[in-house]
Amino acid sequence: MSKELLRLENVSKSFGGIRALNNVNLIIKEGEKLAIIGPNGAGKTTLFNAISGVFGLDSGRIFYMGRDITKLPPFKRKYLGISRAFQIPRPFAGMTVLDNVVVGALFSRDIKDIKEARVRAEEILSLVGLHSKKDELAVNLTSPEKKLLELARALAPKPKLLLLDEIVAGIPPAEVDKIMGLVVRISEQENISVVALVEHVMRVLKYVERAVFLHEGRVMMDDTPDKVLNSEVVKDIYLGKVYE
Amino acid sequence: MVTAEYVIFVTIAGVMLGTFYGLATIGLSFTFGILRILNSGHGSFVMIGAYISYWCFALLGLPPLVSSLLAFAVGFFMGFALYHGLISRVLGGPELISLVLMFAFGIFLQEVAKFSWSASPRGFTWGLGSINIFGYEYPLTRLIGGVVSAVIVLVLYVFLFRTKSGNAIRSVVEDPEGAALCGVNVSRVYALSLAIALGLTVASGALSTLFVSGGIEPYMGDPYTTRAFAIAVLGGLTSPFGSFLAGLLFGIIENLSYMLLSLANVGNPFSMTRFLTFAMILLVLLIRPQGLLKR
Repeated sequence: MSKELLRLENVSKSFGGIRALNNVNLIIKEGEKLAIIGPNGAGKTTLFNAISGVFGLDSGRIFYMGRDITKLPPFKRKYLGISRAFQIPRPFAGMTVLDNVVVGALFSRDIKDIKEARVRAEEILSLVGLHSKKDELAVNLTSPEKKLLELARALAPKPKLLLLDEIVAGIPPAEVDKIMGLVVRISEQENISVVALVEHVMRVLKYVERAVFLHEGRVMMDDTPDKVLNSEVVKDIYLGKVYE
Repeated sequence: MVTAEYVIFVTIAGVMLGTFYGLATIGLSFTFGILRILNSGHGSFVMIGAYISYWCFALLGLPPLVSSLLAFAVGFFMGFALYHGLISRVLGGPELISLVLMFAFGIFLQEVAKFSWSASPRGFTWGLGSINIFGYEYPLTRLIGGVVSAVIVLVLYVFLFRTKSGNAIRSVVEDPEGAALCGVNVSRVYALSLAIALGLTVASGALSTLFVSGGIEPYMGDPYTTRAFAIAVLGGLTSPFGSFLAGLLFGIIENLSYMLLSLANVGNPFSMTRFLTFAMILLVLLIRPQGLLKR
């Protein structure tokens, strides 16, 4: 089996008395694709924020490639290869599509200078099908194009770990297939671990090999998507939402 | 008599003065666009540059072209020191605090200059003679000042669009949080940007001696502050190259209105010029309140 990439050890985080993450233990392996599922308020976004370093932890530690990154600021984690794409894309509106992706690529251990960043940016833009728009200002893209740009920007730095933050929320099924298809293809080509955070599990089920079910800040189940979805625990808490 | 040659001559002179004004303003909008800090002590940094130019010439015989490089280095260093010593502590707080801070720092610089070098005006002439443009004499130093200003701005442009740090700066202008998520060390970008902005402003002060040979004194910066604010607003405040363009326009308008006022023979053309230029700015802002380059 492949090597461990990320390990969360007893990670806890509270906000004003509410335990958003409660003693979370999680291991993500190299090249693995998994979904973090759970109802609204389960702690999914908090988990992502903890991994990308948006805030400090109350307790617990996070290891990335064997290194303790618990205290590293977000930009350093990004540099090491932890990349994140957001539900609501926020491109640099006044910059061109290409420059957006160049900035995404530049600050990475695996990109040595701006020349390489440009080459990489063009390559990724071709992969996601935005190459013909590279000289347009990001503000002029349509909203599905902005999603693709967000994805391209997150993939540009050659990350080891890609965090997809509700990337398929609010878009039609055909677009979901397109985006997830791209994610799967590129992540397999480049051996990127993908963690997709989703509220509506069914939409990404077929693209992942593992599902982690979060509820009230705890990991309730961690297994294959099938087993997780059919478990009594999940059905009890979640039913009606999954099979909407 | 106004001949076509004369108008062209005045316009060329306006372009030279304008590129210098542009350079003397760019630091202000750079600081505002990136750090969201209005450098109300802007003119004092110009003054420091003028003194650097004076002392380099008086003591070492270095021409302003060379001392402007030194001036940039001094401003760059001041920017870093100022960022880490003061600005980083007030960043993200109420805007009034940074405004007062920069205002106070400007006064502090003025008083240090007065204390060190007295309040009496100094000056020097770098005698290079003139060149002849359509039969009119134009001091070569001004031509150099204009061209060098334009070259510096071009270098800044290349830096911003072609280098790693430049791209980082541009992304922070767009969205500091988004930039941080892209792996940009935003705090470092702030420090670097303030360093560059003050470097450019102090360098422009050194180049100012190419246009005005005298009047180097501790309070000489105030008109620069006024002018830079007007030009920066005209350029859209957050856009460095908008500022440059606005500065260029400002220089041309200033020279042309001086020419017209001299011909019309109403009042003192020198003091009337400022009135007319600022009136013109108000007019432009009525039409384009968002600034020249903003969409």
